[in-house]
Amino acid sequence: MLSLEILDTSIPEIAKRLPPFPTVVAQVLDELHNPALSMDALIRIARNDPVISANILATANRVRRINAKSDLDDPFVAASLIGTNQIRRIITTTGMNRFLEQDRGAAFLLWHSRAVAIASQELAMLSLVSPEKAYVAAILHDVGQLCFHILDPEAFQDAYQQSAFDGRLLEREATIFGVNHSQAGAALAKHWALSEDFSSAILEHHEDSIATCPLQAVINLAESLVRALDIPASPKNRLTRLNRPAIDMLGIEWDSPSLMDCYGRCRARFKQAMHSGRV
Amino acid sequence: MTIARPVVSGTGLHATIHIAAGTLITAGTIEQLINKGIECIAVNFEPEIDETLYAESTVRHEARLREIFGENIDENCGVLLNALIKAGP
Repeated sequence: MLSLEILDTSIPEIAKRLPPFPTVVAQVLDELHNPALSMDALIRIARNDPVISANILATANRVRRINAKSDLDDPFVAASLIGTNQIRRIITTTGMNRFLEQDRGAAFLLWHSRAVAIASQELAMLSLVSPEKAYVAAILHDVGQLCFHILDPEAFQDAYQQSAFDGRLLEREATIFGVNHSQAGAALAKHWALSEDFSSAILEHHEDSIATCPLQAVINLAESLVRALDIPASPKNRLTRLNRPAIDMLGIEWDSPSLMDCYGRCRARFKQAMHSGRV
Repeated sequence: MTIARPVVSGTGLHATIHIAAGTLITAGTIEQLINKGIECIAVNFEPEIDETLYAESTVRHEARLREIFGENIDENCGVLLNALIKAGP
């Protein structure tokens, strides 16, 4: 049985049974606030990962094919064509999607996490929050559930299924495991040495009256928005409360033109992600 | 509806392709456009739609939203609900 008192000391053992946090994503997050980060440095981070390098080349070559130009095979040249923002996005989305796909037990939260990641990215771009940080935090926001799935799959699935009817998952988790998935996920974020706003975003993603930082506000509202948009479609999707302080912190106006467009983009991107198997 | 932000190339220019008037934009068309690297589609005129089918779809959309939001809707949720109804299916 876990508890808040021993969580920080227990989590390293649990983390050993999870897929490792993607090194390339950690490197990109470390460099987000470095205005002097060169294109070369970004590509050096990405080039050691063949899947990410291939995605960079594929993105650049799609642009070249429009203009009937031959394909590139040099990631440095490809990177200069698509720009640093696109490269950061490719590294974070590829790295984090692979993190979640590595564990077959994560299937139950794969599509929900991807939906929240898409909505978080969209809200982040309207709120001056880093879309890369929003994507990473959103993929990780329910990672505590993965811990419980590893510790006791049957007990967790029972709690998960029962909670579909009354939404009391956090209470059931605390009864069975000693802490809830928000607390376990926040401890994991600390273990992975992610910045404080990641821990806060994961810890407070179900709160409806707390806004601790813009990243937490984005993840919190994205979690609500995907339920309202019914992505992924589920009979248990319900939305009875919205976090007012988070809305105020981000300056969100649900009926503004930019948000009205955002709903369609979230649906379209999620549909495309399900169709292609990627975000 | 704008379904993506403008694509800006490495030189800072927008990449633009014009689609002929009357072209039917289907899911398959959009997939082909995405495969060609197109990420932004702007529709200048409302496409012709089957009014009956669209009306039915709108009714289903609103009914599902009301199911998700429940009966006792607070002010915060009410604004989002109305926006999503207005946005349509």
